[in-house]
Amino acid sequence: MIVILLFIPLIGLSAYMVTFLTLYFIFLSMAEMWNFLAGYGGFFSLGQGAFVGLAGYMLGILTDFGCPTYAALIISSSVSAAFAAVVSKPLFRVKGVYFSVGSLALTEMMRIFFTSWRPPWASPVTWGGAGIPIKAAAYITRIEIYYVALILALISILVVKIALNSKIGLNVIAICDDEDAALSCGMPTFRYKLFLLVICAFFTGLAGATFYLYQGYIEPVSGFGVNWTLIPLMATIIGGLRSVEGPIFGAFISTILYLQLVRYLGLSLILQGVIVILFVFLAPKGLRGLFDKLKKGSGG
Amino acid sequence: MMEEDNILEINNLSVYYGGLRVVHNVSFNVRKGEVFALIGSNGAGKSSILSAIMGLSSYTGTIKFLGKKIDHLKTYQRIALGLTLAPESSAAIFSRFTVLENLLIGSYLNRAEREKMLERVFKLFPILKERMNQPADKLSGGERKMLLIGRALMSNPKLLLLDEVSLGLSPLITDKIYEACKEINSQGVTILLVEQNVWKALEFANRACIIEAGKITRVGKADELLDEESIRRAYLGL
Amino acid sequence: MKLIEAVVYGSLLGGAYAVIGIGMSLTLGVMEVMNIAHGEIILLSSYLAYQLLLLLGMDPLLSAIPLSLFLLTLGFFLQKYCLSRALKYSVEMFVITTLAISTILENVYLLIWSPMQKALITGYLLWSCEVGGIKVPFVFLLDFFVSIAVLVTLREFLKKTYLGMAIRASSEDWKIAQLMGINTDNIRALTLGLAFLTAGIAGVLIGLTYPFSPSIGKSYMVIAFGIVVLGGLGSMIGTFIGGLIIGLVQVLTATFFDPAWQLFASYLVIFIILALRPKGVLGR
Repeated sequence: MIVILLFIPLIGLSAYMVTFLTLYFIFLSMAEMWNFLAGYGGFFSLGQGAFVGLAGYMLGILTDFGCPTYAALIISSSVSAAFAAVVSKPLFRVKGVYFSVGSLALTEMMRIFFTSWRPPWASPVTWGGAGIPIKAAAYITRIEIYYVALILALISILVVKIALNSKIGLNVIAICDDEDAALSCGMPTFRYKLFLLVICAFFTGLAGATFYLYQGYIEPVSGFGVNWTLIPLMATIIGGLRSVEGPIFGAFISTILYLQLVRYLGLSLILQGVIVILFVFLAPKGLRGLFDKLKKGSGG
Repeated sequence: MMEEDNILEINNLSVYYGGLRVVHNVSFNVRKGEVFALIGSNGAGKSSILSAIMGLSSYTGTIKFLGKKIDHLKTYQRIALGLTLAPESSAAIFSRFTVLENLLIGSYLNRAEREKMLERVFKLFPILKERMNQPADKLSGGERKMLLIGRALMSNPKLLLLDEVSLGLSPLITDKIYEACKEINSQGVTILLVEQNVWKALEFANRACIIEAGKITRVGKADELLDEESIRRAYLGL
Repeated sequence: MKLIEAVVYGSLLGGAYAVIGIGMSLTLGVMEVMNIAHGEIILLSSYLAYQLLLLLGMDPLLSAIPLSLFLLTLGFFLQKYCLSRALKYSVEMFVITTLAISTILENVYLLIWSPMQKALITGYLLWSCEVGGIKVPFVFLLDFFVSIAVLVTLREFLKKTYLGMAIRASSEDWKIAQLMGINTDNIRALTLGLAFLTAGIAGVLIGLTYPFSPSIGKSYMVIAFGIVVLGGLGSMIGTFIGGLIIGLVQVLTATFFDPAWQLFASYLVIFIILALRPKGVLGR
């Protein structure tokens, strides 16, 4: 399967297919990471935009100063990860709903910051609400971006799978189920929560940076927008919250909606919102849950 | 014994607490106007039975109130029928309300009668009238118990469930409260009480049953149980 | 002089913000969740008032009445028949659902009314009066006093009426509330209805004071959240003070630093307080 994916662009599939798959891998990676944080860890972050936007802007700044693209990608993601580490202490002091809205507030803060801040090197037509161009986008081919996205998606899934089966993953799930119990067993819970958040931030940032590499420019409203939470959320909820395979199908739907309605971004988001609501009420455990229910119902 | 005499019928009641079964297939009846005690040591499952009757815990089996099944009813619907509970924990008062407000909210479903009900409660527990406008969390343990019972009375119930009246209270206060409960019963309110203090319970009750590890081991008239050798040894230390 | 002016403006504005926050405080207190779409509901009121002004020439202060009643009903039925199911499943599902609603509404507004800013323009917006040497726009006074009226009315309702007591009881302990015969499902629905009602009033007030656009919804929600964090739960005074703090921070930042950063400054304060004292300045 993976081998097929690797060779797709070489077979000369249409540019549309390449674009589709590139976006698919990006969304898939974000979904896996959000699912890791929210589904397994129990931290319903509504602020994925913070990681995406930050990495995107860093990519723009770095490549503006001549940093080689691949290095810039890694550095940008690391900045997102570092940011996550910095805000983890205050953010993890609160739980549940407060955490969710707190993460959203944080993202809003980032959005305002990048709308209002003008760095000393800013040209009169860039920065502020208009955003900045990503210089590197001009020098990279669609094919290269495709491979970056593909590798990103594969690594994301791998990382989540490995982490879940390792000590870290099991501890994180334990914390999610009952943090007080975990604490009373002497588990250094903060360390694991931090690890979870940083991993999520790094790969979400990387996915975001890859996206902006594809798009060629970034501006604050969509860069830090809630769509970066809604897209992985919808992808995850379709597959069911605690499943690594779930987002694989869900991200597919996200990509279809995104591409088909790219000129009507608003419509795509409305549809995704509706899908989320439908799933909450009809299939809260995702398609897998629905499948299981149907199996049970038919005496299977 | 006519069935219409039963205000409460419990049949094959099993109560679950977090997936664990804590009460096993318990059956008993409470007659109108009587005082019925559920006695046993701590953790035997007595309070769980009361909780199930009020619809606060999940259970299997049938509960009938005044001859009608109530299992499908939510807690607030059961209150409307004339059932009420004075919970065990003194944290069950509304600590951000005054004493008066606590009592008033007790008559949520029968607001029109609230003045009459208040008078009745104040007569039974004069200290509550004294402390009427104080925040409820300033009350002592005994006063809180009185408030809980008073609040439960505000809905003018036919059946009053009392959970651990004597728990954590001095003998003097306990006696005072039991005096008031006798008065309440004489006013026509059937009482089902849960008590760890076996002596007090059997003194006050007409009939009782002993619960051990979630099962009924003995049922009978209170004064007969009081005389029984095995019970005296097990619960009264005699 | 500038300082006094800023303080006065900030305080008046803060009063208006209190109306934004009170809805959030109610839902959080009684239902232990936050409605992510709170800001978009405020905007719903602003946009509908805008349409009524445009089509019927109806003064926004007048349309606030039917709008609030409409939103009260909407909130009640939304919770009773829709959101309650999500809430029964888990708190997260409620958050997810309201997030979805928030996104849908924001984009619907974008489609219908475009990203261009709109405002509720009326004649009396030009009025202002002199108080101790400071020119105070009439709108600010309006915001402030309407806000106080709303808070006081709500406070009396919660304290003196049986329904109000039922709401307070449910917020303290919903199981014991049920023991009083209170239908907690209906109480939750009523709470959301009240939250929507206050959002409706807030929408008209803010629409008169500042221009609005679909993307502001998120900001309103964060401010409402911030007011609850700053002022603590369940206290009218706390909510009022929370609003005051935010109003003051914003106006002071705008006056002495840079207007573009005023929202950022208030968010920063909120985040810092959230990190240091999650129970709010006044606590619960």
